[in-house]
Amino acid sequence: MAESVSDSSVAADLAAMTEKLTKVVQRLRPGSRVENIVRLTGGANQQMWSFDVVGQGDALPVVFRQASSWNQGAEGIMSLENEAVLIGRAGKAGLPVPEVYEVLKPEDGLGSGYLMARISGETLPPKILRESRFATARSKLAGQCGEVLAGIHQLPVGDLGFLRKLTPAEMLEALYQEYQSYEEPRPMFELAFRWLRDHVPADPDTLALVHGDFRHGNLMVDESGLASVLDWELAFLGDPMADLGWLCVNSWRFGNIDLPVGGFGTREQLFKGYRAAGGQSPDPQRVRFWEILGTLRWGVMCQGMAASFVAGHDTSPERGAIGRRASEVEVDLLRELVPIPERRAFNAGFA
Amino acid sequence: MQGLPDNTALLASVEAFLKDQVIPGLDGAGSFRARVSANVLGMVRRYLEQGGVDGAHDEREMLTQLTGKKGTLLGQTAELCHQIAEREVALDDPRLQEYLWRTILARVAVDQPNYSGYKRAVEQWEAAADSLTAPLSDDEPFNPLSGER
Repeated sequence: MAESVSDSSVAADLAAMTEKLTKVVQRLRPGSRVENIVRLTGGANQQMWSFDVVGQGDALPVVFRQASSWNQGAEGIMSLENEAVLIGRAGKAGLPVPEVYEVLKPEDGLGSGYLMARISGETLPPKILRESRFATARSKLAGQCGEVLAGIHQLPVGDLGFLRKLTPAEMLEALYQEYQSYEEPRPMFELAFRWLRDHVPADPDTLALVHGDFRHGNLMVDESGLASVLDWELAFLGDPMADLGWLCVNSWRFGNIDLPVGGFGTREQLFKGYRAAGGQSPDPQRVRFWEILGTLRWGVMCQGMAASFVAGHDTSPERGAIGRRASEVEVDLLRELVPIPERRAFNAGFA
Repeated sequence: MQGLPDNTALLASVEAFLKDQVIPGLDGAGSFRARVSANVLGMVRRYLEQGGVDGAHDEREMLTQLTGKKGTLLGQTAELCHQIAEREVALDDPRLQEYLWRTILARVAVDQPNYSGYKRAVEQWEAAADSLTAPLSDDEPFNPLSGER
């Protein structure tokens, strides 16, 4: 929905927010103040800001993740308070995550959210995959992803009651319902759903913590490799191999089609890192199931983007263009699941 | 019929203007949005270029033979989805396979002809094309829907 706001009201809002934030950062560092605040990303419901906490000693670089409080509790989305708890848990286990500095309280008047360390690094895939300064990082990244994923999947989270439990079959059916809700029939998607139903793996012996969105954009990379794993709000308890399959979806290879792990590594490197960090030995067939389900999941997400464009919620060219990316998923599923017939199957009369 | 220049030439002209004149002068976010906008114009231009072969006619003919039912393109597509979900069509039915290959390649040729998965699929399709299509010549762009250049 387009909002009409003048520059002066934006400036007033920012000043009011900075004043409230100053009280929050003073819990962290008494006498400090907020400087260099800029919005990094944002929609109507959730925003990310960057600023520095300045006072005595070195400035503390901070990222502020904030959501409107009335948006909390939406189905399937973890609250930011719970996300902060989960990131704290991962950090305690030595996994690369930003340190959480402070969680908002209701009396702060800023909705819900938390402040965390601003890690320096790169998340943009074209830079990570092409720039020479990341050459060393690229050679290690798939193995590091395996190691970090094994660590995530071994995190003790039995006491975190906010995590949803989802078996493979439940995930598949939830995705099918989402696909059907968009009312845009795609025979390739139907075929893939049928193939997935025919190949659902047995439930894992124990459901593990699954990150849920472990891919480019959420992986902060520096010259020495994986520096930080971001965005934990889609985490759940399920089949840990789901994270490995999602990381291999072709849409995240950005043209490096023969390097299945994010366009920077091989499955063998990923699996080797996973085993080295104490994870089970990944079953390639199970990972393939999740790669195909992940491919389809991206396709259904694109249909969701198209639906929001068509409904008039966001009619920007970016939103429309992402909607059209559902067809890239069709061609990837086609190569995976549909052999080319040996001879022409249709009667002549056309083409 | 419209006069000259063609619709597709007009779109190509605006795409070139955006890419060569406008985008170099924009900052990060503006440049990104303008590039996406130029790409969207390219999508529409390629659709119009492909439209000359009446792809929808071929697609409906395939769907009629495949599902045994006539109707609108959307109705026939929904019917095929239903038959796949209800297991009324076998996944190794060569007509289903050929329909999917032809229509999906045609669709991505419009949406994203530089997509890695599309380029790989076209290589596979062309390698198999001898048994599937009339001989290909090199002077026209590949048209997956008709299988002709």
